[in-house]
Amino acid sequence: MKFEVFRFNPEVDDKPYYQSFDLDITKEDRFTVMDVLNAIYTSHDSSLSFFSHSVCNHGICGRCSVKVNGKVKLACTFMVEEDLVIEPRTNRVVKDLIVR
Amino acid sequence: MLLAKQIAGFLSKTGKDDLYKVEKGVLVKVLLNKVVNTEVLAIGGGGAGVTAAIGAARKGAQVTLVSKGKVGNSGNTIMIGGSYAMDGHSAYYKFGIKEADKELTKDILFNQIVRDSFYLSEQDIVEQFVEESPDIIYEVKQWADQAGQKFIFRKPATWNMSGNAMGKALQHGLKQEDVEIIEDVIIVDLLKDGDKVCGAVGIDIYSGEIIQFNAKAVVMGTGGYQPFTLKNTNSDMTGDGVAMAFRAGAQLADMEFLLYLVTCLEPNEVKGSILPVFFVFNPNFKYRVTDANGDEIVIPKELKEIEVKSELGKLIELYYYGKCVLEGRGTEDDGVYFDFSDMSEDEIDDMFEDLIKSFLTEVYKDGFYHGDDVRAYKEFCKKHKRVKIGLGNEYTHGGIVINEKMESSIEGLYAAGECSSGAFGSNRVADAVVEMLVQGIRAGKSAAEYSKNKEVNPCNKMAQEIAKETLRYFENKKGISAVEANLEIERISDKGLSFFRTEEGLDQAIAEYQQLEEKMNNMVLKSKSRLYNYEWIQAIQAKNRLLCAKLSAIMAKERKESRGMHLRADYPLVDDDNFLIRHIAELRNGVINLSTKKPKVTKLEIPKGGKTEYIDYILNNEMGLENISYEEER
Ligand SMILES: Cc1cc2nc3c(=O)[nH]c(=O)nc-3n(C[C@H](O)[C@H](O)[C@H](O)COP(=O)(O)OP(=O)(O)OC[C@H]3O[C@@H](n4cnc5c(N)ncnc54)[C@H](O)[C@@H]3O)c2cc1C
Ligand code: FES
Repeated sequence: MKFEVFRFNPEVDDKPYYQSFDLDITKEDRFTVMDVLNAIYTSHDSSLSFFSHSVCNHGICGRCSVKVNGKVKLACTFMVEEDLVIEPRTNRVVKDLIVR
Repeated sequence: MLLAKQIAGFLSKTGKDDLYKVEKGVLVKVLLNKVVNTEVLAIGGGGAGVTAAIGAARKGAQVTLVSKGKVGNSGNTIMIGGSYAMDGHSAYYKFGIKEADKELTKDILFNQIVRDSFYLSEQDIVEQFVEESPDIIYEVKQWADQAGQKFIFRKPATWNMSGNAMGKALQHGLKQEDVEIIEDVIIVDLLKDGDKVCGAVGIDIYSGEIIQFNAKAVVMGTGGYQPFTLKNTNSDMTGDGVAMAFRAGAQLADMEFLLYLVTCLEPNEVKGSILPVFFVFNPNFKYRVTDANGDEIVIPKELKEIEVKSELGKLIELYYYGKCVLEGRGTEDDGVYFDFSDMSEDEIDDMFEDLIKSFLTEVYKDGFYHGDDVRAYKEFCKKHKRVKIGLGNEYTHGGIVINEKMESSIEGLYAAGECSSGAFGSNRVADAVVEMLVQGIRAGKSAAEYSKNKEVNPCNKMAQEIAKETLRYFENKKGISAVEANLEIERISDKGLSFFRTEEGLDQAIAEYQQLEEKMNNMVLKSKSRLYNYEWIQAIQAKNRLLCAKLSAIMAKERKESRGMHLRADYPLVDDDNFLIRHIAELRNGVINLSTKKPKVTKLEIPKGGKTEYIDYILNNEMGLENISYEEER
């Protein structure tokens, strides 16, 4: 599946851009958006910033939300069934998917 | 001079003047971006840190509470999936709760905690636990009521609640005190003025700024550590507080005792959930436990009876399921199966619906356990007729050595909750939630009393050194990444430190940890930006995680017996002749020094045991605090 991920580092980028990642997964793997982000971070690009400290991973803390195809969802419970665009929850971006 | 000034002017315009400044005409890097001065610094936003801050504030101290996550919304406190309890006698007589079982007295609770610990509990710490806990338990329950959170009473004197509700209750209690709160800051090391702890240095995870905290006393409430691949814990659990206390010279103990709990291995989206715990003690829930070949793993009847009544069940499951994995009969990811194949789809439906209706909806929204969809899990079980269950490391008994006032072995440092050690010896059956609250509030009070009339010398030089070391990662050119380091820690731990240990396996794990430690001196970062650079945070955490795992393996190697949550395939007996002792580690001149200590006895004499078969020991020592509240409906 293909994931278009919002990237922006205000220290070096003039403006945001989208980076595309291909992961070898299917619907049957039952990945959550958090699993996708972790897979990108672990195997493709460890400079990607998304909510990673203090992670409960079971929909408890409510801190991992991102926009998935335009709708705000908890990354750790939202099930991936198709290609997705993943963006920050609001436009107050600190870096990539992290907002203040 | 002029040039430096011009550059400084330019940086100021670009908003980067907090990173560089002009000193004696030269442009130098600013290592510390901010200074916070306080009297008592509580570290950790879980139950231990919050109650420590409250305890200290009530004694009139100026208090700062700093946390890696959000206060009341981080750590294992929000992962709580069950309950907390007091002795029934106090509930009945002191708080007038008529449904409470008044026969369960403080003495019974005390004796049970000590017996369940395989007699390694420090009895003065257990006394503090038993004596002081009713008040704080009841107060937290009142905060929950005021904050509109559900804490549901059950016998003997237990409240079921979610971690989320506990977090909200704690936030409510904290709001009533004058405490400065600083969140999303990871403390990296403690500051010392001679032999005394006098503050700490941390990083703001979002901005990357480095902060110096000057304090008269520090309370550690940073929780435990978790070195394995399978996780049921919060990602905060990297042993930071335990490791930094050790680096500052504090003694650690009991690091070999890691507690395991049945944990989902599949389906992927609920991996790490401890939902199967509810299958174990729900009388209407039927399943057979089998190995990878489908052969049943039989737990003898006497033990099965304990398993459904007491959290001692965790130890029984560790022993029988762990043995199956040890013998190579487990799943490829070291689990077993909960098998429903002799049930119809309707029966499986009924069983899950009963669990949801009679228990989970008390606390969670219909059909959910925390944010996990129990009905989706049910469908998976119906489709596959069996589901993989692993043993996840939920809790660490070991940590900072404390006394009954929560003083560590070094001046100015206190510890409470899961990062401490001593209350539960080798096996915890009573509540870790109570441990965090009763120790937190006491630690806060002790720290406030100590800090009265104390002068601090800000340890600026040491703060500079820590900051420099922390920033060194950005300069490393070649080395392994934090991601690789963590995967390697997990691989080594899964193999050598997991449920049934052997001399050979531990030797190899220790050697591999040591090799990895050397490689980790030069971890590299892909992004050079300090803004929410998790790889940087992970690099710092990996060092702590590795240190805790290594000390765990070292103590596990020393303990040539099986006791509590430490099982050895090559030393299967409980050996009271030689191992009724705690292992202590301390850093002396940069070298790990190991020693032993006998646990303190205040009330309950330690029996002269000799050497006993592990299971016989459990059956013959009046073990198993009866703290599972489903029993009444059985
Ligand atoms: C899934 C699960 C279910 C559980 N259920 C129960 C139960 O039902 N009953 C029970 O009694 N026990 C239960 N426990 C155990 C119990 O939840 C914990 O032992 C307890 O909450 C620990 O509290 P604590 O305050 O010591 O640490 P934690 O709650 O873990 O809090 C640690 C805090 O320190 C912060 N921190 C960590 N490192 C740093 C650093 N370097 N700088 C700054 N801050 C830092 C963290 O962000 C966090 O705020 C459960 C545990 C798990 C994992
Ligand atoms: S990580 Fe806590 S809700 Fe997703």
